Amino acid sequence: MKMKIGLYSAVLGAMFMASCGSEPKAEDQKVTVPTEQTDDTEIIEVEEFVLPSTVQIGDLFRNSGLEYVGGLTLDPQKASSYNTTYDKYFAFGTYWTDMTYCVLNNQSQEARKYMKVIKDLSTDLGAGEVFDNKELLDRFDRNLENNDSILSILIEIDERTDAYVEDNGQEEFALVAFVGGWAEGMYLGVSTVSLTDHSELTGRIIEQMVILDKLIEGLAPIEGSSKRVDVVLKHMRELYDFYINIPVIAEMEGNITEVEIPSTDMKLLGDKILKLRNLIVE
Amino acid sequence: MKVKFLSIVFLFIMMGMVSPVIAQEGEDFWTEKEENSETEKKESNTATNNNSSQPKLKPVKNSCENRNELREEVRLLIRPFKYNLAKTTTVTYKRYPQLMRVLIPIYSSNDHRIIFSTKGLPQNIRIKIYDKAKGEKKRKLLFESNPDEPINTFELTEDFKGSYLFVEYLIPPTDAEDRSYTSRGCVVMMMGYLFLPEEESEGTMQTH
Repeated sequence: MKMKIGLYSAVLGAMFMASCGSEPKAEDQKVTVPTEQTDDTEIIEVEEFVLPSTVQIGDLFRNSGLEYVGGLTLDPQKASSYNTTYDKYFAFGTYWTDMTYCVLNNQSQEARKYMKVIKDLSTDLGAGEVFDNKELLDRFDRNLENNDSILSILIEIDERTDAYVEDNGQEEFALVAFVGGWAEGMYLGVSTVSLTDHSELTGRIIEQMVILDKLIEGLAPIEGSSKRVDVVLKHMRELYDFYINIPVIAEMEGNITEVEIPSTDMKLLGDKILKLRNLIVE
Repeated sequence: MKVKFLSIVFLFIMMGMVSPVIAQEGEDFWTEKEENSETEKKESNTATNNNSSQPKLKPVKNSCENRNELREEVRLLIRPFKYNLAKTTTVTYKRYPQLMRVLIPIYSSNDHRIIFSTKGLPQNIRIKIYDKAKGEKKRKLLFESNPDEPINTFELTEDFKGSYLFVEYLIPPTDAEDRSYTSRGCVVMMMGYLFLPEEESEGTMQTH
């Protein structure tokens, strides 16, 4: 009897041990087993942010009272000092904004210098396809004194560049260049306008701050790729934190261009924008 | 007797301990089996015997080989608005519905025109534009496309107060009966702006 009980216990015990040590059930293991999606399942894709046109931003700023002040733009001769790929991306965007600024303010000679720098940089970056178009550059040169025509040509160049970026997977170049151009535009704005009084131009500057968080999100994946990117990104985050915590911004409703930021905050915002620009171009 | 009994118990205990060790050291059983079975299926389905260890990709039927022409057509339709931005979104059809979002910055005091071309798609999709992000209160639908029309136009007037437009592409499951290839296409979206000095803006047609 005792032997039978012992035997049954052993068998039961063995069965118990076998069940514990057998092949693991799927639910016990943390594995990703591909499952069939039902027809009712939706997959949310990654949201894409479309970069605005720096030409449009320049046009908006001009129509809001941005005037030309000589000596503010980045020296074209400094282009040769930018050695890394990311530095050149930033420089491309900066010079593009400077060129637009000169073009829209009838500074033809300056605009030609910037077009040459942009062309050289684009060739250096392997993106010379757009700026190698002789017919386009000739039209640019001939129409520099004609405001309506030259704006159309700038827009055409913008459009060709966008198409080139899409066709060649150059989104990273486009983003970093845009950040450079955006910062330059903001710098030109805060350098020429009185920050103590609310004006149409200060409204546009504040309006431009809205996309800063998207630019930060866009740059975040390339953090660590370059010292300049890291430094710029760090300062962009500080700038955004300052901006978003301005009380009138935090409580804002309606059209952002109508928000009046207190002059002390506006001045601090201006200083931070100046610092950002300097970090990009130094 | 006791020794025999203990030996049997010990034997069974040892058998129980070995199995989980194998599972932990190697790949997961389920994954391995699934990969092996998938590999076997793929090998049996292919005409040629490929010794490569790379998974075989389905061939793609792309309806968007002429994206430059599609963009050019849309560019002409944007006029007299000035080109501002464009985005060509690649759509890969799957066996389930998908939602793709595109975020577009908007500047005040400008009228905007957005053109969508779905000529590069093998299957119709629905396009919606909202004034706020999903989940926000009082989110308003500003525009919904006609999926039977290959070109859809939306005009946003200057009195829009928001900073962004939230575009959604609702992509249905693939209706292709032949599942041996992947269907792909593209949506071309282009936006233009019109700067209106104050005296001109009053006479602008309100189109929504």
